[in-house]
Amino acid sequence: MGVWGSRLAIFAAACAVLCFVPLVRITPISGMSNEAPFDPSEFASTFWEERLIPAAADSHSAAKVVAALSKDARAADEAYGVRAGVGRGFMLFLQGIGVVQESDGPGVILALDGGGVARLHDRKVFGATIRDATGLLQGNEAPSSREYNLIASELDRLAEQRAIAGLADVAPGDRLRFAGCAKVVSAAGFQPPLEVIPVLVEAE
Amino acid sequence: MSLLLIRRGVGGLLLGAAMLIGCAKQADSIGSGPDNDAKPNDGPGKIAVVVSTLNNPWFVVLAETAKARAEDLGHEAVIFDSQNDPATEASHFDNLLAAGYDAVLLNATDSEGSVVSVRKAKGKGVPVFCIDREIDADDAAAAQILSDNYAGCVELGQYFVKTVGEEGSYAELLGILGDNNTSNRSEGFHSVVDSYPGLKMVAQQSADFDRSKAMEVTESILQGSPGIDAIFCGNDAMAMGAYQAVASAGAADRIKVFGFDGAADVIDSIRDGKIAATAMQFPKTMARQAAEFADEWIKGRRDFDQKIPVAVELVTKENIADYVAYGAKE
Repeated sequence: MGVWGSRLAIFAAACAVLCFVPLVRITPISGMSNEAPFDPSEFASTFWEERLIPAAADSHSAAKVVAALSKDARAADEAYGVRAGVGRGFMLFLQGIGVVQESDGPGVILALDGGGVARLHDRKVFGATIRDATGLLQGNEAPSSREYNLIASELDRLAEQRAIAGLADVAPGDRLRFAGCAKVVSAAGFQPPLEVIPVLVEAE
Repeated sequence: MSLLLIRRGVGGLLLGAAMLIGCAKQADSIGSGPDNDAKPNDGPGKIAVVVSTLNNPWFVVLAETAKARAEDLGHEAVIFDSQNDPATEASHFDNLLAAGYDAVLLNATDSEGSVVSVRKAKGKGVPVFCIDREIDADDAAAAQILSDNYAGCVELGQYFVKTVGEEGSYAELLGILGDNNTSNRSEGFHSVVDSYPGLKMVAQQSADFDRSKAMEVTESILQGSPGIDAIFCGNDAMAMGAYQAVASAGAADRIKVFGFDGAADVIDSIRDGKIAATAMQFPKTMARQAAEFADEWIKGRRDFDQKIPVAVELVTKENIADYVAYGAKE
């Protein structure tokens, strides 16, 4: 075969190796598929309509939660609280019916059927209380913590538009059905009345 | 000449092919999951605490608490200082993996750059538990225990509006650009403040979470905008630096300074009426949790949530009596 023959054989072998192990391999990057980019606004709207509002009917009784909080906030946390991660605080998802006592203070004060008082938040909403209080939404449903936070902001806007806007014209004596979310920073520091961010407000 | 080129070319191609094969094998190894078949070990393990810097008291508390908790649980623990340098951090990983550590508690230097080291550890079956600083991967660390920076800054933003008012001008000092804590804190703050069109941000600059840089940046901002009402800072070290510059300019009674962390000097400053507010992180809680997770891993547990948020609490002159440096009064 000679020197040239052996060199050509080596070259052919190298070509054969490169056929199976090419120097450049094009691999599709995961996440670069034809999927539409994550839309926090659309996600929040779908979550609101398909999961949050339907679940409101099964949320805790506001009168029972308020009574438990006034008796022993730590026990109320154990019975009704939802936690997102590690911390002293807890959140609540609750519903009830009440009569408006005041509507010109820092929120709408309701005397609850079944006893107790709650305050419905009637201003701009910030933070992740609505996102986290139901326990229905998990962090891995968003691509990253940033999008997860944007979902919280979108849910806040929906609460302002779809629930809080309905509090603008209420007056003392009005009877309201509501569902909402609340945050207690620490059981030891809880001060009534419980402030609830409404996600649903209807005249009863 | 041509023969030599062909010889070198063929050799190079074969060498390149061999290297590619080798790299592919290594990539498969790195990309695989943690060693879930590792046998549980009831004996003491070796736990590395890799911290971004020990040049900031907050991180000293974080690292020393993690080390102490790991030792309480019966393990050997060593702190590695990355000096805010991703290359130093990578070198620490090479060394600790070679030395046979069983778990790593990582306070990362770089949310993107640190991922490679975390994957390297995972490929060798060594779990990494991230503390305080998030890395940009959900499939590399065994778990990430992180302050809820966004929620903390939402609380700070609301207090900012309450104390500064719905009209005025302010500056913002950002932390290290590209760090997730920097963006999450800034976005949480702006999710509130930007809802008030009367509040105008006249300057937004990075001071790298550093006290000295914050003082310099604030001095520069005050020269251009002496009439600002407030400065929002992405951590307490920058808040202290900003306050020094504000005080030197004779504006301490007029310009409100806000921080984030719950460091000792800022807690004292809130008590003294110098700093308006901070958001209390709980470094000891995060560090203990990470050490306990590492202990559980060594003993066989594998089912950890990827991200565990740790609540952050607003600290102001109204509730300062409830807090001490780096935490709440028990």
